[in-house]
Amino acid sequence: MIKFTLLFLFYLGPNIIWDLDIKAQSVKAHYKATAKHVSNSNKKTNHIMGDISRHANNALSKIDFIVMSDNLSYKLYYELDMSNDFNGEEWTDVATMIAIDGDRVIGDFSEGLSYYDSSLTKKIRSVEMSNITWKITTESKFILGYSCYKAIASINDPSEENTLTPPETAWFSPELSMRGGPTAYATLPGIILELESQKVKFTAVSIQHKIDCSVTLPDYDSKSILPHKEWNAYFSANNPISRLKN
Amino acid sequence: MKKLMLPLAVLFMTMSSFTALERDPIDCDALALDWYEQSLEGGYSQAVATRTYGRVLGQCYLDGGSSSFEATTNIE
Repeated sequence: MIKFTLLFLFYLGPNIIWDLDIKAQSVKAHYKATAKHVSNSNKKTNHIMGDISRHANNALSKIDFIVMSDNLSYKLYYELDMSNDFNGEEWTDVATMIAIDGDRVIGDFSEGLSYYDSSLTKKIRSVEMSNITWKITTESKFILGYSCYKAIASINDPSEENTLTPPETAWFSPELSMRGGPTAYATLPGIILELESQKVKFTAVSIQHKIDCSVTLPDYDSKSILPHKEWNAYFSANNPISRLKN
Repeated sequence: MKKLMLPLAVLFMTMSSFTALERDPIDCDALALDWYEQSLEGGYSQAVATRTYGRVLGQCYLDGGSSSFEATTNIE
């Protein structure tokens, strides 16, 4: 009996506890985002695009983007940094829409779908994660002390996503072996610590390992979920500004 | 000459301020719609363009511009 107790304490016990910790773990990553200037050959359009990205960046400096993943699903959302002054706050809604195309992105690995929701409409936009194919390169660098590899994205069907939204490059860390990142397409084998699209760049600023913290999927009404093209058609038909134009 | 300069300056400043007061307020609807269209032209999504419209319209109105647009930009 004494031999068994010693065996448990020195060998099995720590292994079981270690194993439980790893399986129950989730990761929470904080990011800062910057809006990129999307240049346009039309002088007037280019000027306004510059103004929008300038206003957005002013607001983005006070916004934290957060990714929580338990490897079954992940959520991407934002929090306002209230510690500073409120200058630029009025462009927050535009800035967050530029950065994450809504107020929140939910990625469900079991369904292979990601969902965008925003206060703009009660309808949820869904996209298929498989619409982005990642090519992992051997290029590497350290971010926040984690070894990261560069991956290059290609979109399979551009008509199934907004023009500027698809990720172009990502740096992910296999050391953080969960999937998740500041995109609807975080299918890489490790948390994405840096991500760039045509309109925005995310850089991780901190990582937290959280134990026993699962990501709960929202209980969406299935009738409110529309695939990208249907969502766009619905939004266009019901947007009072679209009607003003016509 | 110096005696003439002061009344002329006062007259000029008064006229300038009257002109400024009489100037039509900025048409916020047209301005916001312009930003909406240019942001779509630049590649942003309808959602970004819609929020830009609301932001520009609101700011313009607060700055003294005029608007007849009463519809909400939230879509049920």
